[in-house]
Amino acid sequence: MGYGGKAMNTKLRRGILAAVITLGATLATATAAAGMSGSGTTAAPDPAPAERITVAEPVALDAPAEAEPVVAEATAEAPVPARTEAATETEARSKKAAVLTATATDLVYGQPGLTGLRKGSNVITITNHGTERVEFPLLTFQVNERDVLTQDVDCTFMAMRATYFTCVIDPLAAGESRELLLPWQTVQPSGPVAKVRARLEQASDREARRSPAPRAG
Amino acid sequence: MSWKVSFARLTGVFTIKATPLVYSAPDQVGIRHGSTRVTIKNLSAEAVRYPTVTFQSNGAAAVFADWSGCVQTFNVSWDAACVEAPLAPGEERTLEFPFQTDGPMTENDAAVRVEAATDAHGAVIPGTAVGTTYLVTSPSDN
Repeated sequence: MGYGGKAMNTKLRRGILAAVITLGATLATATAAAGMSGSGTTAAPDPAPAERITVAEPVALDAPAEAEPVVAEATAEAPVPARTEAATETEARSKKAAVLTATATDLVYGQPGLTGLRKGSNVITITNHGTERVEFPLLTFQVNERDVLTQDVDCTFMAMRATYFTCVIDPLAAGESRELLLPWQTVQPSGPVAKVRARLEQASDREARRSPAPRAG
Repeated sequence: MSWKVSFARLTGVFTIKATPLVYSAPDQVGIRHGSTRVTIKNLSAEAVRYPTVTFQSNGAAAVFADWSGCVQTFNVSWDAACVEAPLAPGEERTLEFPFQTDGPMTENDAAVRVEAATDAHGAVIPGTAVGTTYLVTSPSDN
C-alpha cells in the first residue's frame, strides 16, 4: 500500500476532514460563522462540543513533520450564526493541527512452528510534534494475503474492514513519543522481500469509522 | 511510514507442505475417501534415518488407510504416524496419504508435522519438528 503525490494527500485530507467533521451543529455553525460572517450579536455557542473537536489530519508517515494545516470547511447550507469569541477560538484551534510522525523497524518472520505459522514483530515509534494532545492516534494498515496482525497488539480499539484494518492507540500528549510493538504472523512459508506501508492520522473518535482506506503500495 | 518484510533463512531440519484433503461422496458402503500429498525436505547436511510424519487427529472421525509409502505406521493416541524411508541431505520426497471416514465431515484445518526420530517406533528427537496445516473438505456433505 502506499500513497500518491501531494495532491492526493491533500484530497485525502479534505475528504477525511469532510467526513470527520461530525463535530456537531455547534461547531459547524461556529466555523461557518468564523468564515462567513464578520459580526453579529447572537450569543456564543456552548463551548463544550468545541472542546471535543479533533480535526482529522491524515499524515502519510513518510511525510515531513510540517504537515499542511487543516481548516474546517463549512457548507453554505449551514446556518449562519454570529461570530463569537468561542468561534474564533475554535477556528484557531482547528488551524493548529497536531503533527504526528512515525518510524518503523523492519519485520523478519522467524522459523515456522508445528502448524507452519511463522511469527515476527516490528516496532513503530509514534511522536506527537504538536502542542496539543492527540486523543485518537489512528493507524491504518492495508490487508494483504501474507501478514496477519495478531490480537496481542496494544490497540485501544481495533477494527477490521474489507480491505484494511485500523488500530486506535492511547492518546498521545504534546511532545510525547511512544513505541508500539506490532506482532505479526503468516502462514506463508517464505517469499521475497516486500515493502509494507501504513498510515497514521488523527481520528475523530475511537471508532475511526470515517477513515478511508489507504491505497495499496 | 513503511517497513520491509522478509523471512529468516530456515535453520530447521525439515520443510513440509501438504495439499488440501477433499473427501469424495460416500461409496456403496457409505465410506468417504480422500488423500493429501505431503512433501518433506531435509534441509540439513546430514541424512535423516527416520523421518516421521504425524497427522494430528483434531477430533475428526477419519482413519488412515493404505499408507504404502511408509516404512512403519503407528498411532500415538489419536494421531497417526508414518516413518518414511531415510532422507539424504537436501532430498525432497512427496508421499500420498489416503484417509477415509464413515461420517459427515465438516470443513476444518488439519495439522501435520515431520520430525526426526532415533528409531522406527516414534522416539522423536526434540527440536526437529516443523509442521503445516491443510484444509479438509467434504463437498458432498455440504
